[in-house]
Amino acid sequence: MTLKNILKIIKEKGTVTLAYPFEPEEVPEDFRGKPIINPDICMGCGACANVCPPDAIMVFDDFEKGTKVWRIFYGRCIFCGRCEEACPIGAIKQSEEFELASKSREDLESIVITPLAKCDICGRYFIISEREIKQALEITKASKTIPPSILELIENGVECPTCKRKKTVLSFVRALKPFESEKLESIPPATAVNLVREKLTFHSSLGKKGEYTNPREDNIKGVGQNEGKTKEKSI
Amino acid sequence: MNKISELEDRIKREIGNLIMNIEKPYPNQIYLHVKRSNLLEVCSYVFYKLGGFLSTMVGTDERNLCSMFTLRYVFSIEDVDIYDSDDEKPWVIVSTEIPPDDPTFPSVTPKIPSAVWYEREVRDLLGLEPVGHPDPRRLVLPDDWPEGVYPLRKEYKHDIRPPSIPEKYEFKPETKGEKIIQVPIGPVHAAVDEPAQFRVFLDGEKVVDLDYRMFYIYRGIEKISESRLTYNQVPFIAERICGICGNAHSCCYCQAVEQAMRINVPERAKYIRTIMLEIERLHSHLLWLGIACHLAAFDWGFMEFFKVREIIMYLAEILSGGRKTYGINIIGGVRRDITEKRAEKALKMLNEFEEEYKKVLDTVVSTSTFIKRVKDVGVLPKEVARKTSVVGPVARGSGIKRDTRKDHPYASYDEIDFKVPTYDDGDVLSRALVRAEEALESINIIRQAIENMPSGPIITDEKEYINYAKGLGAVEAPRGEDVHFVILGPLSKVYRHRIRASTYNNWPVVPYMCRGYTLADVPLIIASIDPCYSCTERVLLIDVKTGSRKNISYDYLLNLCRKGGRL
Repeated sequence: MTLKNILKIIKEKGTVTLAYPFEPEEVPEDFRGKPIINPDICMGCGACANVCPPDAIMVFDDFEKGTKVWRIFYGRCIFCGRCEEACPIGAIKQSEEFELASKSREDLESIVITPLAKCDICGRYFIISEREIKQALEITKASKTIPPSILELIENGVECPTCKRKKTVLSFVRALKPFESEKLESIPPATAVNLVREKLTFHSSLGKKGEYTNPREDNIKGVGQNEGKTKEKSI
Repeated sequence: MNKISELEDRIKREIGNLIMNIEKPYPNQIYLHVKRSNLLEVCSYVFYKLGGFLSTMVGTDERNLCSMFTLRYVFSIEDVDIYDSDDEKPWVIVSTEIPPDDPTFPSVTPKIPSAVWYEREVRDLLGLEPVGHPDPRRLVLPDDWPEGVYPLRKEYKHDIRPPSIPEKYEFKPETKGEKIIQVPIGPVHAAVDEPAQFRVFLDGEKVVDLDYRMFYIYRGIEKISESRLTYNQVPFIAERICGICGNAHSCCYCQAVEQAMRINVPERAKYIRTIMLEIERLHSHLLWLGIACHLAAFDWGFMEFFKVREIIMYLAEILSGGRKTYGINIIGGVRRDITEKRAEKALKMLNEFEEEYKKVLDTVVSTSTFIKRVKDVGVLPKEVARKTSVVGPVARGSGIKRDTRKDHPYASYDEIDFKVPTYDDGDVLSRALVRAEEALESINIIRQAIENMPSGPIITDEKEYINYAKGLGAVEAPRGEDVHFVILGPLSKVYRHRIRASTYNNWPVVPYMCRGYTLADVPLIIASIDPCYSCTERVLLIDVKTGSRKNISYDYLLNLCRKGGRL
């Protein structure tokens, strides 16, 4: 009885095994396979590297060569597809490829090198890539809420965070009192911030004399930025 | 008066003097804060008088929060007259604090046998000594791990590898006798091809006792979750805890975090989770049935079950984009929707699967050789099953009706109508039949879920990170209940992630089940709990061959075999 059943079931279905790898294996649509980067639009923002659970994607900055290096190592990839979700411009997409076996480690790597932006003031490279700035400009142009005067300001030139910080501090100092401002220009920003902090404690417009004691640096930065803006407006 | 406050009143009335204070952070959880000296008394009250099953035990290094270590014994209250069998059951968590200058606590294992592994683990990983514990050997840490280095303490960095020490581990020395023969099995075990070492103590052909050494693949997942990843990345490592029931683990972790962050998951996401969990159950049960046939020397059944299982694997691939790692769960919902076209295809494939599966199953259960091989083997009586808090098909095969889907409804199981099959014999056959019937129920659940799936979003963005919030998630994985306990920490990191896989609760009972049967039954009995080694051994990457271990030559093994395994 049982044997009869067994034979019947075997006969019904016939051969079920596939001839893979001699014939290709089809995958369904939206298969989560090897993620592939489009090097023409990747701007190296690192959103994918941030979400990648196994750290298969990494982004490095090379300030000497002026390049941003985006690297994926498929040996670590778990094919979760978080990079595809995170990418703001759709540069990385999961493909249907899954046959990754290889004899050399280099085959499992994919590298995208994008140029870093150069500061117009100090002439050094900084952490933002040129493509990112282009993208940011496109977004700001597309949005109608930003007034054209500010757009002009952005298009005029690129400043690195260090120079921006220095400029803000200087404008703030000038607004306070035009003392020692020439000397400040030649010293590094951190020292400048300290110097301004010293001056601040004696300035009456921020409260009573000597009352300002907050040692946090970003706090002072915030104050400086506001002061800078008011100054611009008054001019 | 609702039932949870009735339970609270009863606890206050009966053991109120032993409890420092009672906390109710969530509607269905009661935290009992007790003094270290009262731990044993309160735990045995909850276990025996309130009908609690020990679900997990969490040891945490909270020295930088309250300058104490904490222990939390989590009980699922299922066997008390306040609650009917169909009600949603509460959790009672007995919590105590241990000062760092005296890291000891009274062991509850002598009274509650199911705590045996938990307390050995907490001794290994946190250095908290259970006073009065019957087994002084290591459980989790490798034999060449130095003394006094505790990997789950916060000062221990996750990428440090300490120097090794000479190994020593003894398999149950008290069982050695004149006539007793020891048979080593492993380190790669025959039944499921995973690493574990067994010593079977034989008298003639009868098994007198069995001992094991496991945790060779402890990968330190808890430590990685707590140190390297952010809370939103952990679902993906949780999915890799187990190669078979990974989706259950990631779902479990997400539920724990969602509870801690008070996120309301959209209805549609809950239904999709249900569907994926049941698909996973189907493929896991079919895998087990196949292996059971193989071990009973009935390889036709093995081939056929695997053939039928392939339909389910392909269905998972269509719905999630991956055959096994679905990667579908994320905090706040799911990542991929089930479109109408895919749902239609899924229903069609399910029909095909059901038809073929029933045919194969009918043939297998009417094969007398198979039935004779598994009947009355490895019996686990109900009382022993209750005392050891076994979970899943092992419990249900011994007549205990416990199923997390009914006891602590999650996803959309409270809106779906399904049965929980139980058998009373407690042998391997009962466990096989439980799984076979559950697979049929799973088909029914998937159909209902696809047909009743509401429309709407699949993920919510409304979330707020709450530092040091606690959450408990439980999921009925194919092998039984998985429990994850989460404490959120600062900087989007998880402060404590305690994983308890289902096999963890089932392993300690295996020696009991093997006693009195023959050596040939041992692989079958071990396989009957559907052991999942990687699951159980979650946590450090260790080279077991370092230290003083000798390389054993083929000749030596051959001689050993000829001598009858005497060492």
